[in-house]
Parts: sequence; C-alpha cells; structure tokens
Amino acid sequence: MTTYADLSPLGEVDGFVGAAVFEGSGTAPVLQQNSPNARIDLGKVGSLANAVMINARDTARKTGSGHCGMIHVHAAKAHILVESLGRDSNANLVLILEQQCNLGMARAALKQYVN
Amino acid sequence: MSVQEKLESLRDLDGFKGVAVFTPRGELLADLQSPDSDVDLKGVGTLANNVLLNAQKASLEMGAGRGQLIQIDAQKTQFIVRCLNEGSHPLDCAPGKTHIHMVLALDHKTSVGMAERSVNQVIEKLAGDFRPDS
Repeated sequence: MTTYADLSPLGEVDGFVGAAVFEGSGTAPVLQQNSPNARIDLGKVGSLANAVMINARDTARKTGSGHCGMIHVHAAKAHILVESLGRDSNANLVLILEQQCNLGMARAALKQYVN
Repeated sequence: MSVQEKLESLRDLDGFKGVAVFTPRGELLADLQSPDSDVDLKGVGTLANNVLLNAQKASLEMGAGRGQLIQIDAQKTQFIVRCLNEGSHPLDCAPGKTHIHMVLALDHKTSVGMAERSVNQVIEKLAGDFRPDS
C-alpha cells in the first residue's frame, strides 16, 4: 500500500479550500485535507477533478504529447489544479483554491509535494 | 483585420507551436501552425477541446461555475484551451451569440501567464468573426 506525505503544507497557500489524493479512477480520496472554513464535499469535487485529469492524461498519451503532469481549470468561482504523482503512478493530487488565491505559491507547493 | 491576422499575434509567444479555433462540438474553424511544430494541431485540438468540455461539465457539477480556461501540462507540449461563450448552453451556439473554443499549443519555454493573457485578448477580438446571425 502506498503512503502519501501529509497534505497540511498545502493548507498554507492563500485561498486554500481543500486537497485530496485519489488513486486511479477512485471516487473516494485516500488522503484529504480541508480548510476549516470550506463548505464543499471534497470527495465529490475531487473525484470530478480527478476524472478530468484522467481524460487529459489519455488525450496527451493518444496525441504523443507525453505524460500529462498537471492540469489547471480556471472556473468562475475556483481554481482546480490536479497534479500527477508520478509517471508510473496512477495517483493524482487535487488542489482546490478560491478564485482569489496565490497561484504561484500553489504551484510551488504542488511541485514540492510531488518531489 | 482577418481571423488569420488576429491569430498571427500569438506567433510571437515564446515556445509557440500552433493555435486552432473550434466550434464547441470540435469542428475546426481556423488554425495557424509554426512551421517547425511537431503537433498534429487538428487532431490534438479536437481532443483538447473534449477535455475542456469535460472540465466545464465537472466544474459546473462541483458548483465552481463554468470553467473558462484549462491548462494541460504534458511532457512535450503545454496546451491552453479557452472557451468564449456569450450564450448559456455548454454545447450549442445561441442565435446571435458567439461560442468558440481556442486551443493554443506551446513548448515548455513559454511564460504561461503571458500566454493566458494573450489568449484572452485574441479570443475576445475573434468574437465578432464567429458570431452567428440572430
């Protein structure tokens, strides 16, 4: 069984709403961290974001674009970032941020988590 | 200014590989490719367009509002996919309302922030070119 690092450093990013790790097309996160003020169903939101990543990864593979490492969805009310946890892994880390957030810090924190 | 001339302004972006404009159903409307690009823009664009549609459905279902832009960071190419929808239906074009998707392919030497800004500017300029009769 794979163990994943603690998600709490991601909670320090401005605008943090929640983060979760999903394996494969699993609909329940294997690890999650919510902001105390968040009012979202992180399992549902995260699994939807994870499905978008799986779609993007298949697209990248089919088109010869290589491994899809990250997707970023700019939505009207939130930023949704999904980072692959490795080329040989089928796990993804989903990070949900408020519309007003520190994206640069968020991306750096994601890279740091993956490495 | 023609559609091609408007797309040409994106060629100045560092790492530019190509740009294509699609209907929300994935039909190609216009494209511009770098001569040394390794990307099958029409094929890639159609699939990237599909990722945008999935992202839009997911973000609406999440309650995060409609996803207007996605960035896909693949090993060889980065894609920025932007929707401009003056109507409300995620797939259809309402009478008199523009609904187009732009797919920009870049290598990793680019500044993503600058590219997103340029995509936003160009797609707004293209709105009038693809607005159907009401």
